[in-house]
Parts: sequence; C-alpha cells; structure tokens
Amino acid sequence: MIMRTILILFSTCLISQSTFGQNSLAKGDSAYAEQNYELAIQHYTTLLGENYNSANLYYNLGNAYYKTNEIGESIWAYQKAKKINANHKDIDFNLNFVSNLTKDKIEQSKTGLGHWFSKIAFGKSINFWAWLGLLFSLLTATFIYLSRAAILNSFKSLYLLTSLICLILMVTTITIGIIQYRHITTINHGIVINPVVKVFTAPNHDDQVSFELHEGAKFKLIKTKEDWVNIELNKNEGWVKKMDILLY
Amino acid sequence: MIRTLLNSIVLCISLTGLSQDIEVNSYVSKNEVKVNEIFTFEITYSPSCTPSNPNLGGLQVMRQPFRTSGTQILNNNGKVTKKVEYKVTYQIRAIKEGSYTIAPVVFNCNNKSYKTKPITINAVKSSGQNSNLPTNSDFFVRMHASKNLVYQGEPFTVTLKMYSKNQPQNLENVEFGESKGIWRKDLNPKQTTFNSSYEVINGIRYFTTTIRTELCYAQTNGNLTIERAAISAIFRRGFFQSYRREAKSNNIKIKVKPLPRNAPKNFNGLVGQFKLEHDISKTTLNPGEAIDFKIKITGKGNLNAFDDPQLNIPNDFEQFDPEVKPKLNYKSSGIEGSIAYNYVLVPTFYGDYNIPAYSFSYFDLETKTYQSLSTGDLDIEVLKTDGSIAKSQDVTSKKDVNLQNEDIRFILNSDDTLFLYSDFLIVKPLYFGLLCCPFLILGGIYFIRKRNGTSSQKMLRAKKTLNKRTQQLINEAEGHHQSGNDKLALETLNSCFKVFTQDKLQLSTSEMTLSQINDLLNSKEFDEQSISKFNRVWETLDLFQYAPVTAEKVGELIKDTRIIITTLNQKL
Repeated sequence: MIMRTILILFSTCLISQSTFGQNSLAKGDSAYAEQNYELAIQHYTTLLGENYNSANLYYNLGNAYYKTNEIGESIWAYQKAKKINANHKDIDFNLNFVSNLTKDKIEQSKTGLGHWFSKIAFGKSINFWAWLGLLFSLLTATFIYLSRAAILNSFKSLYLLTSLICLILMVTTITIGIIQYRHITTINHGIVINPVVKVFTAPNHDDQVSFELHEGAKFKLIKTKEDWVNIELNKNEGWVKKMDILLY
Repeated sequence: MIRTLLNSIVLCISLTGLSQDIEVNSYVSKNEVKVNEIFTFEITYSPSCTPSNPNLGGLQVMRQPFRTSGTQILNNNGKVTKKVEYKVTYQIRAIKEGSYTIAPVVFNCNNKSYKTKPITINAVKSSGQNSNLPTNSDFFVRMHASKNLVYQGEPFTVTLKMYSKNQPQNLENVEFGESKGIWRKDLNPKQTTFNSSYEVINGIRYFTTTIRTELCYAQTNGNLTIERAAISAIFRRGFFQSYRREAKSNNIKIKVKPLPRNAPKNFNGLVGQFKLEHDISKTTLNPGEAIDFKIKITGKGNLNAFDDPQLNIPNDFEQFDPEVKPKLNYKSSGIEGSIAYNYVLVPTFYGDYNIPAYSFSYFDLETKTYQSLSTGDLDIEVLKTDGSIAKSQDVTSKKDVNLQNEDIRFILNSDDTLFLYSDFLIVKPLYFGLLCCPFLILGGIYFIRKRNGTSSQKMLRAKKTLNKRTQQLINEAEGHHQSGNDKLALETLNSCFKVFTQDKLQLSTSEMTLSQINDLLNSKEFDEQSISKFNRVWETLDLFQYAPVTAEKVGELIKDTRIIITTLNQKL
C-alpha cells in the first residue's frame, strides 16, 4: 500500500508535465532564436494560459518582451521568474539590465526574508523540500525505534537525540516548502506596463491624480477593488486601473 | 496673384535676336497702362544695324523719337564686357482702352535681317485699378529651382535673381528663407561681384543680377518648401539722391520622391555614383609595427551624407583616429570629389587576424538601383616575436577587456520542467499521509509487541509460580520426613509431583497415566535414565498407599523428585 502511495506521488510530480507544454516551450525558444519575438511571446503566453509555470518560461518570455520593446511586461516576466528561482544569475542580470531602462526611481524594499535564508530556501524546488521532509520523517521514526531497542543507555540517548534533530529538520524542511509555495503563489507586487499611468487618490477617474508612474515601475499591492488596484510605492498610496498593470 | 504674374513673366521673356556681337531689342517701360498715360517704347541695337520704322499698332506717338548712344559694362562670370549700343526712344500713349500690339521691329545688320518680338500693351481706364499690375514691377526677386521633382539625395540648384529696371547701386541686405529637410550649399560663397545682364520680360527690359546659386539635396521625402527670400537694394536717383527698395521672392515647392524600399542594411542615404578604393601597407608584420590602412571614396553625389567608416578592428589592435582628407567640389551638378581616410593600426599581440570587410551602399540614380561597395575581408598575420622578454612583455602588456555592446542574456534551455501549482507535493493530503507513515508503522510495531508481550509474561509468571510452589511443597515434605512423619511427607510429595507433572506436561486428569507420560517424555527426547527415574518415583509414590516405605527410601525419593523436577524444568 505504501509503495503504491509513493508511486502515485512520483507519478503526479514527475509525469504530470505534458509533452504539449514542453513542445510549446521548445517552439517558443526556436521562434526566439529566429528573432521572431512576437511568435515566441505567443507560444510562451499560451503555456501561461494553460496554467503552466517555470522560471525559464518566464525568463524567456521576459527576453522576448524586451526584444519587442515591451519593457513593463519584460520586467514583470523577470520578476515572476525570480519568484520561482531566486538564485539564477541570468534572471538577475536581465532584470537589472531592463530595470535600468525605466524612468521612475523606486526605493528598494526588503521582502522580509533575509538574503541567506532566501538563498538556501529558494535555491531548491518546493518538491525537493517535500521529499527531504519525507526522508527526515523516516529517519526520525527509525531513530526512535533504535533508541527503544538499544540495550546500552548511552546508545539510547544518542539515538533519541538524533531522532529529535531529525524531527526538527523534518518540520523545518516542510515549513521551507510551504513558505516557498506561498511565496510563489501569493500575489503582492505589480509592474506598470503602459508608458504613462496616472495614480489616483481614490478608485475613480474623477478624483485627483496623486502621482504619475512610467512603464516598468514596481509597486506593492495593497488590495484590489473591481477594476482598480490600490498600490503603495515609495510610501505613497494610490489607485491605478487594472489594465495598466500586471501583478505578480 | 504674385505667383501668376511671375509665371506670366517667365513665359513672356522676350528672347531677342542675338548673334555674336549683334544684339537687337525692343521694349516698353510698361505693358499695363492707363488710357492717355505716356510711356516709352525703346529699341536698342548694335552700331552695325539699321532699324526700320516700327509699327506701333495704333498707339499714338507723342513726340518725335530721339536717338542716343551709350556704352554698357557687364559682368558675366567674372568676365567684364563692354558693349556699345544705340537706342531710339518713342514716347507714346493709348487713346482708348484695349489691347495693342507693337509689331516686331526689323533691323538690317550687315545685310542680314533681324527682328524683335512683338509686344502687347493693355490699356485700361484711367480710373480703374488693374489687379494684374504688379505693385513694384520695376523691382522684383525671383527664385528658380532647376528641378521640381527629385529623388531624396538627388542634386538640384536654386537660383535667386533680382530684376530691376534701373541698375542698382548697391545690394543692402539679402535674407534667405528657411528650408526644412533640404541641405543647401552656396556654389560661390566668396563672390563679391554678381553676374548681371539684361532680360526683356513682357516687353520690359530689366537689369538682372544673380544673387546666389545654391546646390541643394533633399534629405527627406515628401513635399518640401524653400521659403521666400527677401532683398533690399539701393538705387540712385539723379546724381546725389539714392533710394532703397525691398522685395520678396516667390517660394519654391519641391516634390521629393522616396528611394525604393529594398535598401540594404549598410545604406545610409548616399545617392549618386561612387567608387571605393582601399590599400593596406602590409599584411605580415611584428607586434608593435604600424599598418596604414587607406580607404578612399570617390564619386559624384551627396558626399556630404557620407558617414566616416566604422571598421571592426580586432581588439588586439591599437587604433588611432583616422586622418581624413576630403577633396570636394561643389558644382551645380552635385558634389564631386573624394574623401580619403588613413587608419593607423598597431597590433599588440601575435596571431592571425581578420579585419572584416568595410562596405556601404548607395543609390545609383542612373540605374535606379542600390549598389554595394566593399573592401573585402583582410587577413593580417602578426608574427610571434622571439626577442627579449622585456620587449614581449612590453608589446603584450595586459589590456582591458572592453565591453563593446551590452544586451540582455540569451534565453535559457527549455529542459526546465514546467509545472502546475497543483503539482507540488506540499499541497497534496496524500503527502502528509505519507509523512505520518513511519510514525504509524513505529506505533504499530510497539502495539503488536506490547500485546504479544502480555501473554508470554503470564506464562512465565505461571511457570515461576509453579516452580516456586513445587519447591515449597518439596521443602515441606522434607520437613515432614525429618520430623519422622513420613506418611504426610509422602502425601505432600505425591500431590506436588503429580500437580507439577500435569502442569508441566499440560495434561488433563484422564491423561495422567504412566504410559501416556512415558510416550510424551519419549517424544520430547528425554533420555532413558531420566524416564526410568521418573517411573520409579511415580511408582513408589503410587505404592506407599498400599505398602509402608522405609525412612531411607523417603529421603531418596525426595532427592530424586528434586532431580526430576529440575530436569523437567530444564527440558520444557
């Protein structure tokens, strides 16, 4: 029964990616290589429409957007890629490169997670942490058994201590996995995709313009209301139309 | 209106009979007159000619004509000519309104006949205003383009000419109009004297001065305009007085056709006909030696639009700003000449290098096609120096790796696996079930072990109790024996032995026969001696009820019983 369960888990996480997805990604890549960037964008966005995700997919999409001079969309795609894979040098380089082309000066805000933590936690995939958690649960159980079976008291306590460490590691790895999952799936930022966007003081066109943002400006998402999005940027708040931005 | 007038003037230019030194002309002071207004009709001719009487077509002569002679000094392209001419002046007027034609005047010059062009005079009522009458028709400026339909980059000229009835004393000011999208170059920027001549327009003779001739290139396509130029000139009146006149020219519309769309990548607007020559001083050399690489562009066209060649020189070459030698002649047909570039290249490292071809394209106006010129790839071999270390160090000193073009990095391979959010194990309940599995298994093991553990302990405890009880009873029997009560001792021994045997061998009361016990002991592989000892004890204990047993035998019996119980305990 256990073996069957493990097999089911394996099959869901390894075989679930369909050949359709991989084909579309390869088609997009070859269109990009032939400098047909519009077609590449079409292939990549088709995949996104099918709810597929991957850091490389977003990165390549970002490149294609940049090549068609869509700076805002390009930054959005790189940010999405960075969410999935925080430690990829190429993603960092291109994001930095394209961000330099934007007009607005945005104060950088720390995302809360320390650099070292994000480096460790986001360096591996969510499923890697999940499997590691499973391994530690197995080790914990094994060492508990050994501590009970041991005749010598010194061995007993050694095994008990090891089992305790394994238990802590199990909880930690699963927590990292959950944090990473929440980090990827939670939408809390956005990018301006139109050349000049007016930020209103209230979700209403009749209201006063608070400030203006230019393509590629990054902001924090506070909440959404119908067609309007409440944003925060450089400690200023305002409302923008949904069609002017992309969230990530 | 002014434009219509100017066009009519252009069409009505009276070309007089000209032949070498002979020149005959007829003109009027006005061709739009009021009724009864007196104006002059003059004929001029070279001294060798004899005029016939003119037919004035109904215009009334007011006074007898009078003849004068004079000398004109004209400047033509820097060549000063002196001309003697006779002039006969008639003062005439129109009596009625209408159109009058002065017939051509015939001249006999050295037995050859010459005649002038007819002149038409319009007479209007003295009170009426004629809108066609130019306000200052005795002084105007005209701008003329050699072509009105050109290709982008095709040369054309624009001439600015001043017309005045009297010879101006001085040119005071000239302002040229703006022209967006047109490159203009004065063909004679240093001129101090101006080309002057006489031109008869609509029967009126004008003194003309060519103010400026410009070479022009349209830089964009579409409808371009050269705005009006303004001129002010000083004229003399009498001997002491002078007066100032101002005039504005017409503007010029130029229609510029775009060049065909299939332009090569290295085309940057060059139009005309060109040649490309190149020369390299050497292709095999030592590091540190200099190479002269010369590129020369020769031809005719808009050479002003030529961009300096951008050569892709390998990084291991030191290169200096090129020496540029332009030799350009600005003519009305375009810019002719050459631009020569001399690049000095110094290799700093040995190896085989390649200077990629420098190429450019131009649009050939004759064939209406794009032509491409190229220097071709150049291979340069820089020899490895085998001299001193110092020299080699000097030559191959460390060089910064210069970033030439910065762009985003290329896309990543698609071997990265695509995933759905639902693919994550962490969100599957099954995963958490699996996570609990080791603990559940561990719990199960302990549970089973605990359950099994209770039954065996019971057995062990029962065994212990039996042994203990048996030992107690034997000890009791021994006590009875020592106190001389052998009967009680034997009874105690009998009951304890039987109970122990039944319990140990797990027999029912009906099965407690000696033969059955023997079979059981045999099956449990007891040795013969032990079995016979067991039988003897069994039989002795059975017998004592019927026959008395001696005190020694009781002591022996107790001893044997102990041995048998120990043996049974060991084997079972």
